[in-house]
Amino acid sequence: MSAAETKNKPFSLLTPVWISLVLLGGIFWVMSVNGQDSQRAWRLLLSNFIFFTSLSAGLVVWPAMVRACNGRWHQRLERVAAAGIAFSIPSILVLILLWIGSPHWSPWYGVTHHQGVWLNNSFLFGRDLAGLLLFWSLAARYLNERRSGMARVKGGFLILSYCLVFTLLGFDLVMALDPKWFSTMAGGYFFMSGLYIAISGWAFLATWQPDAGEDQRHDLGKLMVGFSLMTAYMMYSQLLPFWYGNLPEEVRFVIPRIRSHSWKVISYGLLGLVYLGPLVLLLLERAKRNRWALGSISFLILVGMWVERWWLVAPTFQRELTFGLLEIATLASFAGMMALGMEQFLRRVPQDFPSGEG
Amino acid sequence: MEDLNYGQINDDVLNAMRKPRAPYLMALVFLIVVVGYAALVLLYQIQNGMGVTGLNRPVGWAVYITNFVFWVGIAHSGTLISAILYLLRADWRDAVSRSSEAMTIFAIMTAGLFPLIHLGRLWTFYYIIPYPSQRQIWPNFLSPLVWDVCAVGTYFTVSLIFWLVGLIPDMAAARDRCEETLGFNHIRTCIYRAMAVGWTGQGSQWRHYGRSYLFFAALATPLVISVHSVVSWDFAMSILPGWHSTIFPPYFVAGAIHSGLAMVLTLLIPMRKLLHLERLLKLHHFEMVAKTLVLTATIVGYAYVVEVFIAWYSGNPFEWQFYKWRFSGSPSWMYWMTVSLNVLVPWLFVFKKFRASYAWLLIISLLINVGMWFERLFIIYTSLVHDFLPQNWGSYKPTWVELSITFGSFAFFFLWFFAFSKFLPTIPLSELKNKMAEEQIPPTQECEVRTRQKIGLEHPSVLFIFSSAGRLTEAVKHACSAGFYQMDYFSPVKLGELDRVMALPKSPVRFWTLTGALSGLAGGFWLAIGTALVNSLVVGGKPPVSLIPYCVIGFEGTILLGSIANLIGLILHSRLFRLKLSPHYDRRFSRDKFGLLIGCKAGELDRLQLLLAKAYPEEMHVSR
Repeated sequence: MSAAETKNKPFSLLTPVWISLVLLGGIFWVMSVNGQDSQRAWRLLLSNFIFFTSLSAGLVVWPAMVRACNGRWHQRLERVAAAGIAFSIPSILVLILLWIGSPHWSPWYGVTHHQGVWLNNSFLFGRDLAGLLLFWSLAARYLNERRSGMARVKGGFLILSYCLVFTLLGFDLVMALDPKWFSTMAGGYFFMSGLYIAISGWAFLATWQPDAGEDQRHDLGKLMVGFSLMTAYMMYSQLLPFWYGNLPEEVRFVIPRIRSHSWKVISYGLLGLVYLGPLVLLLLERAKRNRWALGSISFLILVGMWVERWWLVAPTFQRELTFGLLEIATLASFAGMMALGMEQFLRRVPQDFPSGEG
Repeated sequence: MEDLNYGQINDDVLNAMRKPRAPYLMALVFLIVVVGYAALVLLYQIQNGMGVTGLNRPVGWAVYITNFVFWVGIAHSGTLISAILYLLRADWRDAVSRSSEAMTIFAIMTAGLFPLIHLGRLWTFYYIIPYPSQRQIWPNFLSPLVWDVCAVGTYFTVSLIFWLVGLIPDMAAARDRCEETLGFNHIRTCIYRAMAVGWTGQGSQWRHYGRSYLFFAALATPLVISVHSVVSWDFAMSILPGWHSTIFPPYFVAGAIHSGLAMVLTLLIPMRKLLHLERLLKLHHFEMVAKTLVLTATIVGYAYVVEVFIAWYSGNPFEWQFYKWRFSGSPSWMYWMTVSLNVLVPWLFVFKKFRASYAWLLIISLLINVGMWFERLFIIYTSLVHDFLPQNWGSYKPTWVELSITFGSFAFFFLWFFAFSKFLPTIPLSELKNKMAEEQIPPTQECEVRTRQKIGLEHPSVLFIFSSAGRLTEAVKHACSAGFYQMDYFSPVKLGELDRVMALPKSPVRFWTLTGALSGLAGGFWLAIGTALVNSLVVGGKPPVSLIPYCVIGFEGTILLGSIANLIGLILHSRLFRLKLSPHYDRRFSRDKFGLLIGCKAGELDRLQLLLAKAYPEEMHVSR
């Protein structure tokens, strides 16, 4: 099928699959939220929100970062990364849904913590929504300018806004889930690991692109290794002072994640898979350049990072691990939403996007 | 630089190493005098004890530890420019990389003095070294101070190796020039010859060298991050307000690079003028440093804001009163000064006007250096003078002894840098020439059969000499297409594309590096666990064998042995242990000429010469 034909057809054979995933997963989630597992369903909505929003936002930001460093290798892959913006509306809607449902799950609703108004439910969701709207509007303006221009200044603002908005989201929607716990690194870890999710996502998408050459895959593989190490470093930089200081307000993050046997397994699994895995799996140049190898490894890392986002949220509330159909259905619904949006974006946006000089 | 050819680049860089003039010598004498004065002051301190400093309860760490942290930080930009930007393929780094690497070495040397000076009884330093001890008082690997020794020691060793390896091709150029101008037995020639370790620029050397250099860069990158993280953990592992913070490692690393980049500007702007390097060090290079400073200033600013926010958010009354005192109490002038000098002033580089002026670049870089020094002092002493107990609060004022030694440390650093600028090439010749060579090489298909680089002296051969890397590549392709597979080239620069055309296998140096790194990882854990088992003492409520902090020792071991093994692999495979140069070597090969040596049968000599005439060699030398 030629590029023009692809562009003219608004749907593909996979479109019904994505729609089915969205609907089936969504229906299952709605049933659960009205059933006995209501809180678990809301928390899953939150963990999927932070995973898919990090992924989609990071996809839009990555090409801007490469261009800010005068990189040129990514030009053929810029279009597919830009498709991340297709998740902007769902991410905003899900955040609004989380706000609406906050009486059922949020630890801040109707409670005054020692942070006072900062953890007031409405103020918290209001500022997060404002931040996310600001980020996505900057992303839209950046991509609009990239249709024909360099967008250097807007690219810089986009990167800055990503760091600041995702720092805020990390503080509010991960750290503040336990209002007594705090870490100066929580925000930085959240946005940096978001970039790691996004680079893995970009590498995964690149393996499906016929345009992507071995050199591009090699560069993406190297960035995956770099960001896996950076993410591991930032997690270690938190854990080491926690271990050393052994202060009650700090170790309360670690204890739920290692005391129960089931969560301990997940914690060690994450250490092996997402923090140190790419260093070993992508050590050989061949693994980075080969389509199948990079595709499989990046997919594995994406799965691992979904688990990591879930691990950041769930143990704060559940002493024992519960993983079942609800987790899979919610994940399927979000994955379907993201895939559907990106497919539609790629079918509707001109093939020559971005045509601004790299 | 576009208008310069290989020879002019060579001359511009090597001319800077000519005999120094009077102003240079006067500056050198001044620096020696200051260093001598500081050494005398140190003797005074040793004789009279630490009471001559301002250190007293509750402030045990102040200016000396500030200097240690500051100078380790200055070292970081060298590794950033030489290793991280190399991996990111940022071309602008080439012109400033050598000086930055030298800065790294001298800054670590300066930093390394301060833990000794701070000890008071500096001869007890050996207690911290993990040598087999009859008294079984081995160091405690749970202590961040021991991590410091391992990290800074590894950093110095790896940076020195990386720097010396980077110098090898340029030392060959300096050797060849000195042999011509000063004579074979001149002292300078002998030193450069020793430092060039038999380098001839043969393809069989460049192939291993390129790979090895890449691995050094890959090992140095996480190392640089680990070193300042370890330095930050000296503070963050305590539970003092203002020190115990999880953001310290990346914040310290960013701050270190920030101050280091500022120091690059402070040193290179005058050096460019004094050594007449205007044709090589352009405004563009300084602008790129300035842009990077905007990034590091932003990261530092981010950390300032987050620290204050979390101090409030935590609800910890000790933490919050401490921060309120910091920005409104007696040290507030220092706080607001560091915020201004480290964040707001560097942000001026957002505007082209400030980036494009040497005067502004120099002024702002000096202000950042001042700001970063005070920032370190501020972090270190304020937590000690204002901790949990008001009864324990105190004050700190440095004495003339501390200030004199601090002043002397700057002179010590500049003294080394001055000596370097006249004795070694301040700009990496081979890397600057490399860009030109890459542009000359046309797209060429790979040879169908792998070429062999070993050519015995007993076999007939022809040496073809070219002025362009492009002609050399064409000649290689002609030769291998005609069935000549025994060949090696001589080049003043690394020609990675030519190695591909010659279908050369990947260098086995990578196996050395991997083996060394894995051995270092195992060795680091073995050392820490083994030591813990010898003493088996519970210190600070921690179990003797604790794997979480031992990761630091394992990591440093990985980098240290990985780098040493990488160096061994490079020396063995490139045969750098030979002192005699190849008989086919011509001094021009380190300057501006390329050679292609092809081995053949006696009856094929004429056919080979006729064939390669198509590539227009400038000279042909036949060995029968």
